[in-house]
Amino acid sequence: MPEEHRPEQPELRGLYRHVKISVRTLDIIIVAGIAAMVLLVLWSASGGGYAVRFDARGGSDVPAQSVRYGEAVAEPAPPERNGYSFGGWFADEAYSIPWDFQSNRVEGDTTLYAYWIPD
Amino acid sequence: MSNNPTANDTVLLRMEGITKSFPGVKALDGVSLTVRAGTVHALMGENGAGKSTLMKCLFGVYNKDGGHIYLEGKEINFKNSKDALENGVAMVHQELNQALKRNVMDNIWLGRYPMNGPFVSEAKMYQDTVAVFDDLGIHVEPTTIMSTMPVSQRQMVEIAKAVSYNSKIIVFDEPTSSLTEEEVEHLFRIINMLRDRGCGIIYISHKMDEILRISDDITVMRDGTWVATEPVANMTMDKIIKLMVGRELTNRFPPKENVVSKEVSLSVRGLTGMYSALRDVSFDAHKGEILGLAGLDGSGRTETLETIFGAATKKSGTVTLNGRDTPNRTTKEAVANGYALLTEERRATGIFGILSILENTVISSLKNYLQGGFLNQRKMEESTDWSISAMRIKTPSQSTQIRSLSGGNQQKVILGRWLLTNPEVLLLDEPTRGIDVGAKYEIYQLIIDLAKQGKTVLMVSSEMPELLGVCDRILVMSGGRLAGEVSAKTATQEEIMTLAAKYV
Amino acid sequence: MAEQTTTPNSTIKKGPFRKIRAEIDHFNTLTGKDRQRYITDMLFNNAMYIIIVLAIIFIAIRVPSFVSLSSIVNIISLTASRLPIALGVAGCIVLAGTDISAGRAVGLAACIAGSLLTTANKIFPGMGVQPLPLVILIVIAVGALIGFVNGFCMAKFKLHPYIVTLSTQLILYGTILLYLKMGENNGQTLSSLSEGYRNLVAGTLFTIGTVAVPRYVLYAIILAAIMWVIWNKTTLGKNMFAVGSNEEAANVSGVNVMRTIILVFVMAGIMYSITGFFEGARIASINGNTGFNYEADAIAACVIGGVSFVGGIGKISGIITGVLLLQIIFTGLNFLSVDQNILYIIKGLVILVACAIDMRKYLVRK
Repeated sequence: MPEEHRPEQPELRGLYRHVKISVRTLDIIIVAGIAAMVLLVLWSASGGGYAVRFDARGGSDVPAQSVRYGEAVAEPAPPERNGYSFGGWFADEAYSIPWDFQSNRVEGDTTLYAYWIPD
Repeated sequence: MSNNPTANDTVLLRMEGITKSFPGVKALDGVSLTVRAGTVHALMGENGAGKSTLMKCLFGVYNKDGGHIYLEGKEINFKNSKDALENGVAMVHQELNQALKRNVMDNIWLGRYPMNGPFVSEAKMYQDTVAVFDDLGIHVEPTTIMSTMPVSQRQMVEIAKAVSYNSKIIVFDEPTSSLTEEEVEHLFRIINMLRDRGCGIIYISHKMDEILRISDDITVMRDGTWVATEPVANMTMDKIIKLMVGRELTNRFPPKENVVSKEVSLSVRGLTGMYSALRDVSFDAHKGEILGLAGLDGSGRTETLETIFGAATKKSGTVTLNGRDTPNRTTKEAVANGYALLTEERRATGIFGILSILENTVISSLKNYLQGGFLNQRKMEESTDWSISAMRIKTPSQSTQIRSLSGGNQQKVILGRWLLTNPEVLLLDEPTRGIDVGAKYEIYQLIIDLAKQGKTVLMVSSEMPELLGVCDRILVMSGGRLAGEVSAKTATQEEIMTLAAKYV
Repeated sequence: MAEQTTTPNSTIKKGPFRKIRAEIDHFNTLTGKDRQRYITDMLFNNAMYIIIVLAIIFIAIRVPSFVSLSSIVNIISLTASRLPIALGVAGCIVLAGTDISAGRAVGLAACIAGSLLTTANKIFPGMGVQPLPLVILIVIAVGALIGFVNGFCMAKFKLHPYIVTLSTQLILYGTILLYLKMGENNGQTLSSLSEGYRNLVAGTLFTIGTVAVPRYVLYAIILAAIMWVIWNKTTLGKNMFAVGSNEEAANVSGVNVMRTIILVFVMAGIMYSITGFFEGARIASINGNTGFNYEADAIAACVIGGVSFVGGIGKISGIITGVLLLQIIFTGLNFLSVDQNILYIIKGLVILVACAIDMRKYLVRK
């Protein structure tokens, strides 16, 4: 009987073509996947905020801060270095993106780099 | 037939009160089936009657909800088909599941290769295969690669495999659907031989003549329930149909009311396929005519339709419609020229399963609903309504997914789709394949109605009574060529068969 | 006879919540085992939504500022910025394909826009800020070309979408890096974008209290509306669903399959380039990594939103929901200060689970 249509038995098509999997296995994947996600989140969610580090590039040490997502970084006192004057904090080592302590927000673990202008 | 000497009263397989539900549907409701040793037991019913589901419960493909299965008096509950096979219950599938790139003996001994220490013993495997083949009178070289063999031989391999497991119950699911007459004879000889050895054969088929010829008992199912089990001697074709459909079907074909006009509409000259075996096919079809195309599988019937429609590439030849040249290089062009093609494989190339009735209906006539570049929803709904009522489609709503309809209703949706393009020529490839007996009548009626409206219908069918009952003329094809033409009023099946074998 | 599969007493309901009411009616007709199965199916098929709602509640309790006005506006803005790419990828998924070159296409578009709209042009030294309409046209043309190449290879040669778009992805990445090395730029980040560009995209649409809503939110809504019309009211839309559902049947039905596939991919390419154009102005500093992995987010959002890899299934409203939910959950995880690297693992798990749920809907149990 070429088309015993009832019960309706849809097969997996499209990108799922040739996939052979049972509902039971899928249920296990769904439960295990969700469990893994929850565990990962609980394990890594400190809730304390992202680490913002200041790389003084040879200048005096600046303490790191812990800043929550979407909040601004408190501007630290400028570091010092002999023979140079401080030129501000940058988001990249190439000094192409200046960090604006007023408008820039933290979106993850961040390192800021000090820029030095030779005297 | 009924005076089968080997039939005895030893019950091999007893299925009792099998029940199986799917969400919202009761697929099997207390179905029972008893197969005696040394008999062929035919299982009949319309599509959707539950034959496949019953077999799937037997083989553990589905878990039954209720009921018991006993094999030689012992209760069994197979986990899967392999489990069933190892316990002597085998199935020869309609669609053969075989490792096509491997050779014959690999397929037979797959999963239980004879071992010689840590190595597979090719020699023993070869000998054992030859032994089984000799036993069954099959002439196949065990080292042949499966994909190089015709379907009939691959089926024989499948049977040999079942025998090699010493199967007591062998299920044949539509085994003859792609076999020639001769191959069918061979198959029947083997089935009779297995029966004479005391095997119980469950034979599932739609073909009445085969059933009446080969089986000892017949069980009829309808709508997931058991209807009757009778010895074949008490059955006639009409009685079986009546049991299957649940009502009297006095006429299998509607009255032919179409009038064939003198005017030629479709004219095909020297049609030759680029990649197919189609060679130099020429014919004329008239307005209001239903022209049948008969022939064996692979004789070029489908290719003729596809080449006319532009779905297969044409090497040479002309196709004219009402005197106008219609080369139909693409299917889109064919639709624009007034052609419509109902394909053979409804599920693979006809329906958009997950889309709604509406989307399935309007897809070929979208330009009719454009208004300022956008589709008008109301117009599409109106057309779909028209199609549902004109085709007498049974559906809860327009937004129902087409895959949830029965085969007959799906076919009507596709016919409706094509009628909305207002075609001159309808090319129908096996329009009633896999459709219930009752719904077939309605499809025939629709075809005759179309011819009455002056359309030209080209209809391919493997069922000869259908061609003789519905068509006006029948073209017989053989080996990619036109072998001859007969009038449906006077021709006999034998006449058509002789022509079909002309160029084989 | 085996004609109807829906329950016979499911009368057609009208008005709001009619789907929900029909579901409840359906549920009431079930008994025992079926009822239990129905509940299990509901739970599993909606597992992603349930877990997201629970996560939102959890995060809101842990970090109340998550549900502050500024945070909500931030989530909506980010959703808007990622919506166009998802709308593009969704078309490819409806065709039973996918597009993993989307993120790099975004990056290339952003680089081109940035290089032509900067006040300190190092890539083309000496060239000033170009007129905005011209730049928009160039960016769209580049996107359309990328989409055309992808679509053509798939439609003409029937290549697998993963193969085609994987190679496009790498080619685009190389192109981006080479482009950034042109002139005197030497691979540096593009910044100092023109005021006109930044203002057009990221300027203030209106403010709620003190929180500004950027203009690209409006643009995203317009794009979603356009896509809705294309998907639902045009021949291309209907053809797209037909091809995705059954390519062979579409061909036999007289649909120009090749044209449909190419057009859907061109449309997707345009959506990527528009995303890139927005992203450039939004983040205001464009480098070789801009757009990286955006396609993963977009594909995940689509699958969560019910655009199925089965092909032929999907709704614009679903895509919007998907992008929004994904954004909520990842912003929420940021509020919990979850390590950025772990977010990648979670994204991978989200896609895996979303696909498992997607498949589950189209499978029938034994």
